[in-house]
Amino acid sequence: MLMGSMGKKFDKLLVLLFWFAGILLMFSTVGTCVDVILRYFFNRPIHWMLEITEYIMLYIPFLGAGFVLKEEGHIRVDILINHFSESTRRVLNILTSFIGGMVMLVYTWFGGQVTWEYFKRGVPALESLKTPMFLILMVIPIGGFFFTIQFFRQMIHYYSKPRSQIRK
Amino acid sequence: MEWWLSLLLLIGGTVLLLFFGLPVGVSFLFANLLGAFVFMGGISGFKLLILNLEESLTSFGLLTVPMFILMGEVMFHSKMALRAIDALDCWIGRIPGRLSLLAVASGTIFAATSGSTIANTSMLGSLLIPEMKRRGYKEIMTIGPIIGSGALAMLIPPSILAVILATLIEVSVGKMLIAGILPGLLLASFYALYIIFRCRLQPELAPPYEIPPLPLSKKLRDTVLYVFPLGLIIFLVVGIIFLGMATPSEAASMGAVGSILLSLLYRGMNGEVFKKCLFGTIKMTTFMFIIIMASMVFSQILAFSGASSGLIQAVVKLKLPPLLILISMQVTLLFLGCFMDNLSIAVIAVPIYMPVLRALGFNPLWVAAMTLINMDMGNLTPPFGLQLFVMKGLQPTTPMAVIIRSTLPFVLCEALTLIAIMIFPDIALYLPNLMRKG
Repeated sequence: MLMGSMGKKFDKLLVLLFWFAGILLMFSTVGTCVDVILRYFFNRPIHWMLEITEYIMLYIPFLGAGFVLKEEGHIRVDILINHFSESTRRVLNILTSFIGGMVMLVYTWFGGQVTWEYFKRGVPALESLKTPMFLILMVIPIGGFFFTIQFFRQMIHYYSKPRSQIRK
Repeated sequence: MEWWLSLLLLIGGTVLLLFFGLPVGVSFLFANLLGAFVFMGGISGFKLLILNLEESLTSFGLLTVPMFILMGEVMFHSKMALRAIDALDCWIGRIPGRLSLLAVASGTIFAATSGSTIANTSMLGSLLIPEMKRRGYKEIMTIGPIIGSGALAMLIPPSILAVILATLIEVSVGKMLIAGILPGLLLASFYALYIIFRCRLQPELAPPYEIPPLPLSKKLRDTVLYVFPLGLIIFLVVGIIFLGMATPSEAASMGAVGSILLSLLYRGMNGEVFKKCLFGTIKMTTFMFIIIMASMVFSQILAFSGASSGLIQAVVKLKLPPLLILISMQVTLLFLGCFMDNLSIAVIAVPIYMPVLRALGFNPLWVAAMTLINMDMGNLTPPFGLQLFVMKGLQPTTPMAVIIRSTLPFVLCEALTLIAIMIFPDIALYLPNLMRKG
């Protein structure tokens, strides 16, 4: 799961989820435009477009988070750690990756629990489409899972980096 | 628990992790776990937290953010902006500092098509600096105007930070965007006045040069072909929002689709370019949305823990003039701006500041407009002004001290605009008040 050939497959999954977010975004973009035009000129709006777009807004960051972490695209405040020595920085990076992984693990776990409860009870969203809530919520544990794993992979990466350099 | 203790626990925990290099959004997510555990009934609070996260992001208004990013990416990668600069260039005559003024004019127009200050600065810089150098312009008239004009993108709609601020303080996104127009134009005119004034005093800073005469027909043709279509996009976004014909999200997606169609017409778009644009958009949207989501829930927990109301009471008890509190808050923001990026400052400060300012009776739109300029200045001030680093990246051989010195007059222009808005709130509020609805 973390390194090696499994790691490569995991990377591919991250990319796949990322581009899935891209497809969802383009769907919302074009759909919203078409909705405006149909409403304004033909008085026939697409009623479900707005609601679906709201759910897509939740999907995008959770689908993209793992890949963006891998690309080191999340904003970090680095003014303090830049002043530390290489070895302190390494320890801090291992530590923050671990904390990040644990934080996301909690969200993944409880996200999964909440999703499962809503699935069992069959609660719909309080909107006109009556979308089952679990379909909306499930992206939190799914995306959270990949985000968690990526944090732990990053931790291992920071941990093993200097040693592999020594071996060379 | 005492309010100040909860505040210390929540803010302290976040800031500590933040400075140890945990991604900003995840630091807030950690603080939320902490807060939910302490104030919302232990483990069962975590489930509530998940539902709060879901609720904070499932908002149609947030679509504005990726749409503005996409618009900017398309303008940048399809090179549409390049042609517009050339067309504008024809119209400026033989005046001192003409290239610096061109930077301000193009910066204003790009600001109205893109919401990213970094994209704006790097585009203007890579396009104009070589020409400025060739014409013998000194740094103060090359680097300064470009960094300053790049920063206009944060004020003039579409501005991504304006949307985020509006979402965080729960005011109308449409009104917040419109509120940035007049301050943005005022700032641009301050820049222009400074350039003209300085170049009259010291013509050697920006030596005038002969311009080959161009036939009027070509000038008109280029303007119609390359500047007017950008104007159309500006109308699509700003006009539709102002007239209340559609919501900001709808207007923004029209703008994004409009700029993609336009780039296809100019043959600046293909599969590769589109992929690059979408990639950049999703990447930025992902980290921004995680930060927004975590920060919105963070504000709720702050309120729930009693920290917000405790702070309000403590500040009110001080019996200081409200304006003094407002000023000291702006000064603190400016100070934070020297060390942190805008988004992090906004998400840390807004949940603490806004309840207090509301309780003191300030118009949140007015405060937000000032905060936007303040964040802009933070981008331009050492030691950690983001824009300074962007410029250093463009001009690796120029010493940082020179970049900072050249930027200083333009930072003062921003300070002047900020003070002007503080004294005359109508600069920010006049246009939003004209709108019928948000």
